[in-house]
Amino acid sequence: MSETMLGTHGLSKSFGALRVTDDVSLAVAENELHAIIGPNGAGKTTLLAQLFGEVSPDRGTIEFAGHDITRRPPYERARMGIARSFQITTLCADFTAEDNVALAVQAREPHGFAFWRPTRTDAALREPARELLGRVGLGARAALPSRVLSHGEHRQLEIAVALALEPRVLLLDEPLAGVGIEESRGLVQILQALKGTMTIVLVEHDVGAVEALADRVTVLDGGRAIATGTFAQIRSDAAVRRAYLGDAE
Amino acid sequence: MPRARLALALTALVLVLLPVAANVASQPFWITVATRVVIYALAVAALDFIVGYGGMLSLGHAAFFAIGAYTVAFAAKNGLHAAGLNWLLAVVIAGLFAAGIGAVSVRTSGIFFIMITLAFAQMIYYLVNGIKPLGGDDGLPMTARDVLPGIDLANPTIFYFVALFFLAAFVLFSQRAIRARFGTVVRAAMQNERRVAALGFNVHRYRWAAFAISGAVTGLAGALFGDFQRIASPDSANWLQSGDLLVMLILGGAGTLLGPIFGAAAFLVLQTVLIGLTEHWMIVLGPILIFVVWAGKRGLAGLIAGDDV
Repeated sequence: MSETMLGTHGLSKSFGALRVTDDVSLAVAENELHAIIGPNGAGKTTLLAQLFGEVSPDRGTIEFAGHDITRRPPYERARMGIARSFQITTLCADFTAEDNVALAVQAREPHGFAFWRPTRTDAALREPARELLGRVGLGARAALPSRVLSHGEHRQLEIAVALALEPRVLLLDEPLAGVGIEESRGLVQILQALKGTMTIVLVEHDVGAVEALADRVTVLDGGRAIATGTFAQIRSDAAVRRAYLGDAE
Repeated sequence: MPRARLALALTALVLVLLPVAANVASQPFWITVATRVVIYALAVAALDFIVGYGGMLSLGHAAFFAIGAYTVAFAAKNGLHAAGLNWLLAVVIAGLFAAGIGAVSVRTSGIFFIMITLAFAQMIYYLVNGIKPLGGDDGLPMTARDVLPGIDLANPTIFYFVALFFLAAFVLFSQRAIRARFGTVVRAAMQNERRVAALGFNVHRYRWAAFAISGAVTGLAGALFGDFQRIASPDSANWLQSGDLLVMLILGGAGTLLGPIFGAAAFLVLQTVLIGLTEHWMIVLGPILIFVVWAGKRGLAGLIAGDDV
């Protein structure tokens, strides 16, 4: 963990009078798993949306592998090697699980328009897709339309889709939200296996999972980054205890 | 044989045998109606390419149809009578207009997309109405059909088969294209644009290309219609025409292989039969359309051929 893979400098964003991101500077190192936690409304999802380019900041810059990407649209960031998963599952509902992953495999290949060969029977897309579905434990569900899959399976599929892009940076927006204990354990195992192989920014509410997974943690409160450090450091930070972990302990 | 295949085979058989039956029964008028059906089916299939598979509800496709018709009529007026060249010109000019209009409109969606395509089409409507060399209100008549070496386009049966050839060719192309990488992205973006962008696809570029293709092929249909009727009429650019194309598509079944053909056939045959009885023939079409839409999302094609087509 040395070079900064994904960084922000003085990032600020307001919606009307509400400052959702307030002078946030982050430095996520290569292959680090960096968690972002904070109470509801702290601005975690908006920060992630800015990292991916879906929301543009009012001020500040975002850098990826040494390039300023502050004004790049999402599809360009995706092609540069940043992938994201969504908190509210947004897959292609009529496509099968395998179609969804195959589309992501297609996305990492050159983007010439091809009008003739069916994607359904294209082994170059289908084989990696099946392999990835197996890796996240969805091998048996590959042929089902994604709309009939369970919530937990959607989370697994989200991860398979993101991995199909072979990203250098993976942005995960609450991958455990609304998932049962069993499924949650499985997802944590998948993330554990990924850890160290790519840079991961994890926005998550589940403090137990963050403790198990994160190399470092940044705590957001009212749009500001009030602390960054290992989980142990964060836990003993007075401001963090007041804002977030505090009273319960 | 599965129902969908059977429906496809029967439809193809009917389309091929129809002029033979008309000639045997000495009913040349059937061929006239069938030719209109086939030409409109081509325009509706082109519209389906973006509506049924791309979710882009264009209320401006009459403009491309009219551009095609005016291209052949204007070329003929200026001494160009080669069908091959004139149809190619129609495709290119309609395609360029579609590329220009598409560049703006694919950046919007939903009601805004409908309104922008409508606005552009109305501009073209007033343009063809107002430009003197294009004949103004009277339209631009042609003295004879264009000529194709070795193929007698003046013969109604032959002209019918030429139109049918283009319809079959485009249906084949579009069915391949929507399943290929290009169309897979377009279909995915219809379901979830944000996701597809997050994967790294420039959704606007794909939609723009689909829109341009759709406009170009609608232009070809318009060129065939111009040659068929031997006139380019400003009414063909009217937004009501765009509405008719959409009604045919919804009636036949958007996002289906046979829908454009069924929709154009049902609409035009009903119109032909009923208009002799009353000019308010849509009083009959309305309830049929309501029933078909109520019975299923995939129109006549869904009812007849099942959900696979």
